[in-house]
Amino acid sequence: MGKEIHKGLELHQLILIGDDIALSKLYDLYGEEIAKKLKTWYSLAARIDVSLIYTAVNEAFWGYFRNPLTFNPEKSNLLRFLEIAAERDLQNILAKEEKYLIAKKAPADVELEEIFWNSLIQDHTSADGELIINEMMAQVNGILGNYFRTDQDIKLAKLVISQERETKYFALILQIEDWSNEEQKMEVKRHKDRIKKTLERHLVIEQLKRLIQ
Amino acid sequence: MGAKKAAEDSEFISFILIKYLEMENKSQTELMTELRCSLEDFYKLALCKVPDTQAEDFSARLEKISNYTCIQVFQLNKIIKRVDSVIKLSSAQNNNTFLMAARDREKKKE
Repeated sequence: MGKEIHKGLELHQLILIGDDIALSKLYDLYGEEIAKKLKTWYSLAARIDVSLIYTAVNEAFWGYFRNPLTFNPEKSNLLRFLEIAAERDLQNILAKEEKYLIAKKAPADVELEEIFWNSLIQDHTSADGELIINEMMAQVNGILGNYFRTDQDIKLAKLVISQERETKYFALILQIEDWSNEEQKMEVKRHKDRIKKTLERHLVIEQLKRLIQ
Repeated sequence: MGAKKAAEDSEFISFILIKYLEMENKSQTELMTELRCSLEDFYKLALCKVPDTQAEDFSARLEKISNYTCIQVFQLNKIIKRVDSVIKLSSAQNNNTFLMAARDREKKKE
């Protein structure tokens, strides 16, 4: 962690003095890492159009590069600062892409995956759309927080609910990307089974349905 | 990632690379072969700033970029100076055209 902060500070200083290779280093160091995280956090958006993720990362990086003083090293580290900026930019991009996403909206009787995520994006037409979504996400997190103690479990639960099938997204959250494929699959299955049991035992999916309908 | 945006900004080598490809009528793959670099190094290069060819520290800055991207200094030097000279030449020609047009207008008034 200390090493990370040091690296970020060093880069920040290089950007402030206008170093020739600073922006390139910034992308090299954090670009893919942040894109990977956004792909996990917004897996549905990434599956629909992965370029949205890269656009958000680009906007965050260039925004910072053009105005480096927006980053205050005393408040956070550079990686976290860029992550937050990229996530905010992605949310703005998704809001602008509402028509495209609404067109993708499925009928009411399809699987929960569609109902759940599409309901989160459907109300962007009003000026308060973003607020409503944030409010809804807070409520979703609140419900999940009643049954899952850690952020990691809440993120895993969201993937299970959205019926994510790819092991890599679970592995990323579990931080086991370095394990062999077979080991990853086994570990992911163990966690998915555990999460599913909790979801079923407490009728969490029904609660979420009530919330979004 | 980011190289496309940098290509719109003459401050970055990405801009120079695009101009060079247009001038030489080459593909990116051909240029990468010429530079003997990987795709990763090519994108790293694209996001570096262009050192001012007239600056005293031009060589030192070029060497720094060369060390960072593993692309030979003489190759970088060749591309940057080639594009720089063509841009300067075309800008000078444009200025001359404007001056000649202005002189013509003055003569007509007289």
